[in-house]
Amino acid sequence: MSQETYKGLIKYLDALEYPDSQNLNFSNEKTVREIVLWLETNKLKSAKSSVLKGLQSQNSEEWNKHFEEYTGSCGGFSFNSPLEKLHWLLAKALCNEYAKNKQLYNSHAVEKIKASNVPKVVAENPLDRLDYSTQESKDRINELAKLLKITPSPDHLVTLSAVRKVICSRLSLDCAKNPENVIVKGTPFPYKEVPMGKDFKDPSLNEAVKILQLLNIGDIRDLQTKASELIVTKQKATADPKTDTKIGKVGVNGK
Amino acid sequence: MSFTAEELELAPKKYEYLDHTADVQLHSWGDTLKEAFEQCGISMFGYMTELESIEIKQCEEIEATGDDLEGLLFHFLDELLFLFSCDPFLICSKLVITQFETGEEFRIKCKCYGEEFQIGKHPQGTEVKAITYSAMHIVNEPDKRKELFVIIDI
Amino acid sequence: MEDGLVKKLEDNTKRIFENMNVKSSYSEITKGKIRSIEPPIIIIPKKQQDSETTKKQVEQKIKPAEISVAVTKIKSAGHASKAHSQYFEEAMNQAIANVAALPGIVGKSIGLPDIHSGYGFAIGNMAAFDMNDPLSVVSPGGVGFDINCGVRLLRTNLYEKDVAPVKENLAQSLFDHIPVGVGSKGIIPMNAKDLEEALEMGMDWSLREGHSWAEDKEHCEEYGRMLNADPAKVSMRAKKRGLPQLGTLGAGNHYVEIQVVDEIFDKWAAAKMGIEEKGQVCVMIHSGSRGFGHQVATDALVEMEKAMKRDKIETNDRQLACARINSKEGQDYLKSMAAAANFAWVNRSSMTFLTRQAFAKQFGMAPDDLDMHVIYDVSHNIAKIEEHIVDGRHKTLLVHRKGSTRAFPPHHPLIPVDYQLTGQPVLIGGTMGTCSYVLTGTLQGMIETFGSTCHGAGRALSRAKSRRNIEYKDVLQKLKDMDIAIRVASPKLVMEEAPESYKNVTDVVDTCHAAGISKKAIKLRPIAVIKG
Repeated sequence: MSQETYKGLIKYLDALEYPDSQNLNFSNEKTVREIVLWLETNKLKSAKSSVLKGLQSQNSEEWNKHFEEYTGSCGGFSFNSPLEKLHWLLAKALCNEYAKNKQLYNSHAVEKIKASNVPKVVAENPLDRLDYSTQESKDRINELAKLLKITPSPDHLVTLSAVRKVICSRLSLDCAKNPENVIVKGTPFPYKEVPMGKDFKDPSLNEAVKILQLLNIGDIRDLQTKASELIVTKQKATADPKTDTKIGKVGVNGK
Repeated sequence: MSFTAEELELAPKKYEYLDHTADVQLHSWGDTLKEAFEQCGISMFGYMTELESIEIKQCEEIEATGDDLEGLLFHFLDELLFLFSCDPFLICSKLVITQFETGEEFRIKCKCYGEEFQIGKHPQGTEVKAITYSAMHIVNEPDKRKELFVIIDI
Repeated sequence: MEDGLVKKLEDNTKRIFENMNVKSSYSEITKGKIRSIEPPIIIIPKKQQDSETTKKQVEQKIKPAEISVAVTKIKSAGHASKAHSQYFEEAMNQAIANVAALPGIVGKSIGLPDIHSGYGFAIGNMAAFDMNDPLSVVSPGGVGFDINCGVRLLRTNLYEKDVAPVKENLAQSLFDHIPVGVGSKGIIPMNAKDLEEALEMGMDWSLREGHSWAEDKEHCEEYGRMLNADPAKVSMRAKKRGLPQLGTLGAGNHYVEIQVVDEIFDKWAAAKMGIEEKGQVCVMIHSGSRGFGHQVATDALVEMEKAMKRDKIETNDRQLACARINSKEGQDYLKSMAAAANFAWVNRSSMTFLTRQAFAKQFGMAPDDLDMHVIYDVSHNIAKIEEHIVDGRHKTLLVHRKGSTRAFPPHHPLIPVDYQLTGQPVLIGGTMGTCSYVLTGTLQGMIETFGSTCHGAGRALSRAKSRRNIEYKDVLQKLKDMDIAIRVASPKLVMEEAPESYKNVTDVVDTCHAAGISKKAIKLRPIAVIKG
């Protein structure tokens, strides 16, 4: 059982307000039995009286049998351990809890609390405390750009994001170690000679459009490569090229 | 399957291949429409392989219908092509039309004699893709030789 | 808190990439599996034909120089009949004019320089119909019987000097790997269910089964799959014809050729296609949807005849059957045609797989290491729904191309990203023993011919005439003299496909280049031909 699952169990128990959920020892079977009983008594309340009785006799040899009966088919899942089953049971209890107080919980939904959370996060980021509008910030950003050979934009914040892009993509630790993995290789192409479909009657505008076209092509190429890579991973599972050599005559002289 | 001597006897050749730019035009004739139809079918098989290489080992019966005489010819040839193209992959050297109805309804029943096409035994000729209505012409006048002209797509 | 969060993100990212393991390639995947296939079988060479009956009388020898190519300046083409003025036979004019008279046609019915007579539509004819005009029609005659007949070009990193010593072996190996000629059956095991899936999925099926590389799909029109395909609209008859023939080359003008780069006209475009210099070896596959497509077309013609009577559509030629695009028959045809198109892509993909195997065995290297990528795959018998600008207005058209190749210009959204700057590659297959070309699409072609250009040489002599005028032995000898290895299933019929029977492909290509509807990029010359 992985660390993740333990964490998940604790999280669920915490949410269900199980007493002392942080200090539980799941390897002890007794703990599991206690939790199950607690769940049934306080949350689920769905067992027949005979089953409930069985679950209550915590030290009985028969307990597991009652537990089986209690969980029934478990929605058709199969489980590798009682803990996984417990996990499923907890999730079920959580669902019930949520269904009971849907409106209350929804008012705390992620999209609603986000807004109130943002300023808090900002306050904790030291960079966000900087005032970027000062002349000093502007100068420093432009200096940094000059150092990295980036043409500064009139808007220093745009320049800053360009600086960030270069640093993240080209100056990471990984790039420093294996620069050849990052530096784009390719054959030159006289892109200026390619008709672009529409003449804007302004050389600099045309130039800009061409550059945008190239950037767009680069992006699509990237996407296409990722798509192809994904297909290749899937092929691992599906590909089984068969040829029935009896029908045709494949191969020459055993070569 | 055994066949009588009569069944094994091939009909005399009454067809030819005419010019057409990308494809070929079958021209067949006979004293009756029935004979011209049989000849037309054989001429199509003759384009796919050499008829001499075919032994009669098998007989299949096909049926074709049409709205008019041209439609009947089209479907008749299409049925024969189908017989060749998939199971039983039959290549024929002899066709006998057992029922030939014109008038109210156009219907043909035909016995097709031949064997399964085998590469190595039967020389590979040209593949017939489809029958066409293009420039299809049927000469069907009383007291005259019956003639059929069909272009097949190859 | 931030620290924990960042750490978690990093861990997640790392885990995702570890699990993806994207570095592995197709050949790695298939290596083990190919090896597990039973060892190759010894070949019995396909028998030569030796009967006397097909021997035709030689009436006169043909002189290639006497065959003129009808050169048409497409630029000046107005309506169909004008475009072909005195050069073309009356019949051809009639065919183009018949098409121009169909309801819903937009612009002109265009005859391309390689035009020759067909039925209904001439071969080398393209016509577009307005999707928003309720009277517009779709015509199976405008697509042809061999739906999605097309050409695929593979490159290799081999040069002529690498291949020359083993040319005969390689040709034989290809001939043995790829089923060719009348009555041949596919060697990739298929059942009815596989066929249904292949019809629906096109090259995605080939990918799933491992016959294709992921990159192959990128370089095909429509990514090798027409999404509107509906196998349920296809007759049982067509499926029965198609099943045994999937993965077969066919006969007639279909071929697989080993070619070498003979000339590079546009080095930038060539570089984008992975062609570096003269002498580089390529493989061209020309095939279509086999009996499946033929039957789909035949079925549609029969259905449409009935629909025409009902909708009171009259045409000058019974073979020009058509149906309103919005009618049931029209829709059913488009769906079954798409299934046939998918069949053709799967067919070419299967032969690509076999070609790669043949090369891999010959050179003892994985196809990956031989860089056997698909340069492009074009369809020259198809109808597609496309967006075009007509008289300054945007229109959705159903474009029929019969013996005509799509040729989209640079930056067109429907062409692969690798060719965004060069324009779509257009593959022009020559005839046995003659050159082939790779062109690229142009803006001018987009405007003037709805992004279409020629597809090949175009017939000049009828088959029967070829049989009478050319001796098959001469054709074989001539190929031998040119140092071209040849393997044919029906050698006695090679004269039908002899170069003399066709217009000169170079003239056809030059005409299209001069008219600006496509641009020459590469010229290829065959060194080995495998034919039905």
